[in-house]
Amino acid sequence: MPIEMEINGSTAPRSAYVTWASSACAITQTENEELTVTLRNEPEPGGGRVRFRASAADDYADELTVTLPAGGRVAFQIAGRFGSPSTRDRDTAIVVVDDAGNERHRKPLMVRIRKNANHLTEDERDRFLSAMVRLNTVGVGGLIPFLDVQNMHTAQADPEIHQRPSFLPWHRAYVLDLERRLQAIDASVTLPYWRFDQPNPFVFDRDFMGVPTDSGELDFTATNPLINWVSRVAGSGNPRIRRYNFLVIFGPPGTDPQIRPFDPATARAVAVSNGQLDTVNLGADPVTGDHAFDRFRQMEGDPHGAAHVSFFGQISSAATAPADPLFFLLHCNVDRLWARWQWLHDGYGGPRAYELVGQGDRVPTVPRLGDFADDTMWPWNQDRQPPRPNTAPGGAFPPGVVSAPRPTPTVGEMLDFQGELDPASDLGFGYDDVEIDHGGQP
Amino acid sequence: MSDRDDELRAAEGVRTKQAEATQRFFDDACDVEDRLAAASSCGTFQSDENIRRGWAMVADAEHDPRLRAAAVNGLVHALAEEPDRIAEAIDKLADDTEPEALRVGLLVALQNTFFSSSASSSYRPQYLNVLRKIVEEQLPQLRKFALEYLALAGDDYVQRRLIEGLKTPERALCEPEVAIQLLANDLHHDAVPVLRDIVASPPNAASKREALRNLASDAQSAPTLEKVALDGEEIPEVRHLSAVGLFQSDPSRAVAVTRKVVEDESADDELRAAMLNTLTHLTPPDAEVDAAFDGYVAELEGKTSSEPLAKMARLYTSRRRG
Repeated sequence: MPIEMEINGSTAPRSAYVTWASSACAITQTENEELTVTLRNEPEPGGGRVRFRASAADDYADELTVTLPAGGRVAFQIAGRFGSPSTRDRDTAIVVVDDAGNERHRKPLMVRIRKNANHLTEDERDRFLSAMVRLNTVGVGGLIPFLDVQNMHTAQADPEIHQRPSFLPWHRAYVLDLERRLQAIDASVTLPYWRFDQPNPFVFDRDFMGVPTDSGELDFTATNPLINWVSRVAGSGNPRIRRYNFLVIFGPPGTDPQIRPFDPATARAVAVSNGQLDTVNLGADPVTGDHAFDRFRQMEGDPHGAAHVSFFGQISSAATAPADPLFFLLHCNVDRLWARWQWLHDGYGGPRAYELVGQGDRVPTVPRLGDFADDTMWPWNQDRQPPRPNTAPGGAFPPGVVSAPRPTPTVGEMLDFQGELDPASDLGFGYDDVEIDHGGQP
Repeated sequence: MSDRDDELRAAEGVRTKQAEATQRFFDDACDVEDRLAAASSCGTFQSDENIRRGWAMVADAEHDPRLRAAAVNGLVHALAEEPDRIAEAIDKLADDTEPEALRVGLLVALQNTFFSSSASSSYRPQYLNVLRKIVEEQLPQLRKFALEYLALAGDDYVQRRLIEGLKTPERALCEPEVAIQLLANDLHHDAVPVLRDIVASPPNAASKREALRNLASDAQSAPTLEKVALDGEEIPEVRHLSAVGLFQSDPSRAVAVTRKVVEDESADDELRAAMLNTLTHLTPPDAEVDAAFDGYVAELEGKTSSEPLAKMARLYTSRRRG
């Protein structure tokens, strides 16, 4: 091959996935004379779009002309164009055109972005659901990969992962871990988010997250992969997902309240008081208006907890919630709300972005193990000594197309998720409505 | 003006509207219905003053119970941060002289708090004890909440009461199909014979469905699951869930049974599509390849007029081909 292109440090197709963040690329030629080429983006109809720049010092543009020395290599960067994510695997391409207009190389890729579940295409929905069920199925060697995901979020793990400053960073790592496991099954899948402050007719449908029967278990279509979903909660039977959407109706004084189903297809989650902007505002000091993470993290109660308890069923308890796939869409939205707060208030680093700077891991005088920015996180650090839980085996964080986080991630590594402060911090995911600030990006 | 500036401006607008709504909610001069309408725009109370007014409203029996319940909803963050308030809320929840509307509001807020407050864990035994008391009260709406939350916690008392209700319907706390779903959160051995009895002599169709579903890991029930999956007289949904259950206790038998139903052209097409869906996703990696069956499915897409069946035939074939 006279010309080759690397994306994320590799020519392999499995690396050709980008987000809004800058991805390091390079083009190489093996011919013996200098060659000037132009790089352009050619998406399929409705496909993702990318932009180019020579280096971090430049602005992004729709094309880039480079001169390749004989047998040489030139580095450049690409980034997904905000507002134009892919909908299918490799639905866009970088074409390399020489001075005469001849196409010399074509590199398919995907702008892989987390999206509002209510706006997925049917194909995106089906691929996500199928990957979820395959992850939760007995595989080679009798292993069920999803079991580890369930066992990270148990009653015993509750004090490690909830009710503390690291709640948001830990759950960012948790959903990214799940997403990378899904991508090992189908590389085109991202975790969608459930906007629990809005009606979601596409999500709460028999083809997607299901519709409850009168007794509360979910009903699905014959083609929905979730008809095969199995609860992996230790000690549980084999229940169909139970998720009854309840609305408490208070009549006039003196009458009994009534419980009726509410329809999340036409209403927001009933217990949620804080909408998206209310949630962002939680970060503000009521007097000064200054924003800080230690206030923003109140959102663990409402909307996070409130979204959980808007239903009867597995999702309404921390120990059982992963048994309902909606849980992961809920947490993806919790993470997105944090990402939006970070975007609006430059919350990617420093004490304002996360108050517990430094290390508390096993420091005898520091009781808040796992809360400090430099602390490693359970279970990836395999620290199963009390007070840490021992319900999940842990081990190296699943690899992605980017190098972060490290196999044993710290709390602090979860903050700069798009590499705003340091490109090496990019965790390899982005949201369809959370921008990134890099030079020249519209 | 950047998108960020627009968003910050919108957030400021929401803050102003929230302040107005909160003022209206606490305004005794306003009509109760107006105040309840304002509650939905208050968000959670943030300032010390609003938190103080919220607690005062909850404590004041002279206020409309619906307003008191709405105030509890706005105090979720404050509740999580003040251990004494958790104890107070649990006491009020236990108080059967308080209106049911307030107690329901407290129950939802407390369940949220036990999801997200480090202050709450020491109060959990007390909370569960109150839920057990509520189970025996004659307030069906409040009981629904208590049953759900106790069952999720794997509470022994509620497990015993649910099984008792399945054996003795006049002692039942809820419908049998709901009782089985709740028991399934933590299915003890002593529930299995009860489920087998329900399959043999079901009080209604829904309870048979739930009992069959939860006998999946009971090896003794595997022949029953197989029989039901192949029974053309049985409801398609029940046949399918029996096949899915069989995949847990005897996967190779389940593959054979499921293939048989897919090949049965007299069976309901939706059922065949569901069975093919299950084969696509649950066939173990070491299952014996059946080339004749795979060939049959490959042709099915072009032959069938059923959209779901064609869709699943396409997916099955594409997966088999890798």
